[in-house]
Amino acid sequence: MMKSILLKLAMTLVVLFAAYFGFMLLSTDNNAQEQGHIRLVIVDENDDTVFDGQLIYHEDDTFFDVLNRAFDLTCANGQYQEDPTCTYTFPMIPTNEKVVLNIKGDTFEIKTNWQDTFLAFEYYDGASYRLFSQGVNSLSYTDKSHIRIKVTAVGQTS
Amino acid sequence: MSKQHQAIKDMTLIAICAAILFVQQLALSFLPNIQFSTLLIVLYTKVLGFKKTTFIITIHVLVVNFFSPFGSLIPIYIPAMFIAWMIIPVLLTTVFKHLNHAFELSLFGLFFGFIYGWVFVPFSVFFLDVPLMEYILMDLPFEMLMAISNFVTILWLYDILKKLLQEQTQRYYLEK
Repeated sequence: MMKSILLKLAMTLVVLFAAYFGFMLLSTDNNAQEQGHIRLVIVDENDDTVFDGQLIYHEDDTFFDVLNRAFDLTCANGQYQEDPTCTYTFPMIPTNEKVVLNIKGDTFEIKTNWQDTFLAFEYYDGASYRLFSQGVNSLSYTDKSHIRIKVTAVGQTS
Repeated sequence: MSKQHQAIKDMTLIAICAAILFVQQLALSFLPNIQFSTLLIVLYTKVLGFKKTTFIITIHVLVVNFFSPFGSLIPIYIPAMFIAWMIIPVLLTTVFKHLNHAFELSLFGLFFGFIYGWVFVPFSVFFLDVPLMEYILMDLPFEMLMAISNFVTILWLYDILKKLLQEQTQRYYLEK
């Protein structure tokens, strides 16, 4: 009986350790390593480019930090309602994430409601735009990265 | 026991088991992919058999999709969810019917955590136009969570619950 419990305990620990290392591998730190700049393109629901410019980032910035510094952002709270303070963070795996709903610049404003439309974050790979597989807090970028944010209808391919 | 009496008892048992499956999933829904559903379906397959488990899964999938207080899921995921859960009774009554020990079943549960996620891939990619690689990458952490949850719950609770369910079902069918 005791032997069986110890065996189960050992197997549980092995699986938990394996999972821990698995999650560590998945949760790469994508904060900026040094100062640089990125090219950002923002496209509205009519496929019109409303912003195309350079944004400077600093060491340790997440992509959300870069956006938040340059624009007025409205995020989603826990019920996916608008939260202009952007304080709520979704407990996602492997990193916590914010959901950006609206972006307001000096000359434009794009709005989404999460139910019908959302902001797709894409990177340019030299030939076409591809969707990031991370959220706005953890998407990876380097100096001169070319990133596009596009208002996208739910179910619509990018 | 008459055939009619037996049928009523079977229906009641199926309803109770489906209710347990639904309630625990709902109660743990705030934890992504951490639940006792795989443990319970493995248990139902081993104790109640393929036919009753199929009815339980059918009820569970319909109830989860239509009556969840968190809102219904995307309709195209209903067949995906049904197929995914049915993999357990199908495999455990055919190719893996000799798996009976908690350790063997917990390893089965570990792999099933990933298989469950992969069943949704073609439905998401072909019907919802979700990009394949991005979907697989984003789903991987959730599959890992389900795999661990399955492994741990089956390893520690399967033997105890199997004994309990076997005793209770025997008593239940003996009572007039």
